[in-house]
Amino acid sequence: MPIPSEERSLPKSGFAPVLSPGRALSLHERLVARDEQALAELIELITPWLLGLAQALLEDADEAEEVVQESFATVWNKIGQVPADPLGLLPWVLRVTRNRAIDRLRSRRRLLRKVARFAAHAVEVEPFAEPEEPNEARVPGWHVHHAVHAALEVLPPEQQAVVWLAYFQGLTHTAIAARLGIPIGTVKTRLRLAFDKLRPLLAPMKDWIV
Amino acid sequence: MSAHEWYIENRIAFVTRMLEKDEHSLFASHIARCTECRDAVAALEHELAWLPMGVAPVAPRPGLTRRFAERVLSGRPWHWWRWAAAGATAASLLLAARVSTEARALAVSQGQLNAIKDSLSAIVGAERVLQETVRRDGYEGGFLIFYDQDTERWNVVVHDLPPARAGEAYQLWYVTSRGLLPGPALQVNGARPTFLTLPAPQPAHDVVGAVLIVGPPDGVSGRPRGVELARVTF
Repeated sequence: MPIPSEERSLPKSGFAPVLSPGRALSLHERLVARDEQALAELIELITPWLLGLAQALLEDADEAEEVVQESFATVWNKIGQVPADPLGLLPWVLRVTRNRAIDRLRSRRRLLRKVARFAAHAVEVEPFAEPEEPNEARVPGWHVHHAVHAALEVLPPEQQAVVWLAYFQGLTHTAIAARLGIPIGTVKTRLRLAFDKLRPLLAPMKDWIV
Repeated sequence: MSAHEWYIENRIAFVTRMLEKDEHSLFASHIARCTECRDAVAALEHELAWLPMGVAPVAPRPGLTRRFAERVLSGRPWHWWRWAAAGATAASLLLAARVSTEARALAVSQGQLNAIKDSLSAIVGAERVLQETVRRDGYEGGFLIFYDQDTERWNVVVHDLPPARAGEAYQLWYVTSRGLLPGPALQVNGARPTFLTLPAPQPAHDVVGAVLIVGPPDGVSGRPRGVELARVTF
């Protein structure tokens, strides 16, 4: 997982730790009202998370930036389609970014190369290594990351591996089965078991907006 | 397993984009008409809303968030010239070394050399540089193109290629969704790199690549009739 380097330090300016419901609604409403400052605030707030997600999937910093750029353009152009609830905006942007990254991954056959590389070089599956963060207070949403991380850590290693390959590497059932040398049915079973555990752990996170 | 049981079993796989393309399309068609699955998918999306934040954040490069905002607000697409600065630097240094050597050999004036260095410094500062090796008549040269955001102009360099034969010319062509559009001719003398700076073609967003052609001069319309030497895709 990418870790911020000193050369690419996180924003120095302080953020509210999270989006409060009021702020989220305000941001949403302001975006709907075509408030350009609201767009700038959203970009400043969530770019590190979108870059992390896109880079994990694409393994290409430049292309990840393109995907994030496209995601923000989608936000700006389709903000009227975003559900108007406090949980709606940021997860929607995260989902848009992930979908775009996966589309690129698959449309450019990178997935095949990725699978081949995994197979050829026996890339270690080391999902969810404990990340380092030098100053949590300066990264809005960092505690959300910790909470998600903790939920993932609950899973047994074999389930962590399939979730990591599937969700954060963008591999399909078939590709995961090839990578791990297990039947597709086993992949599906592990994923089902994993998500059955994750769902109740992650669902209450709608309350992280305080 | 009934048909609907398959959809029930694969709801999470659909939400998390793990299905194969045809399966995904099949599922998408199904939820358009199945309220039960549509509601279940919506509930799953809600429950897993924050899972993407399981990935550690990556700090944006300096100025990136500002550029994101500017480009969204201006309606401009992400530009092709966003290549690694390291690549640009490496390319320019290689070129600089070659140019310096040739400049000494040709005893060019200090003024000419300074002009070349200015151009090279612009390459170093460019965010993205595209280059292709070009082989022709026993020469091995290069075709290099980059965008200068400060001046909003394209910069094209052709180096180490022989002069065009009689009745032929080197010409830049733009690759667009409407086909190839003619760009300017390039005066290649074979002795030193040819630098060309030109305004971005309009509409800029329509240009997806560039091609270096050598052949009969084409003027301003029609299809290139010469030999394609290099092609870069943005």
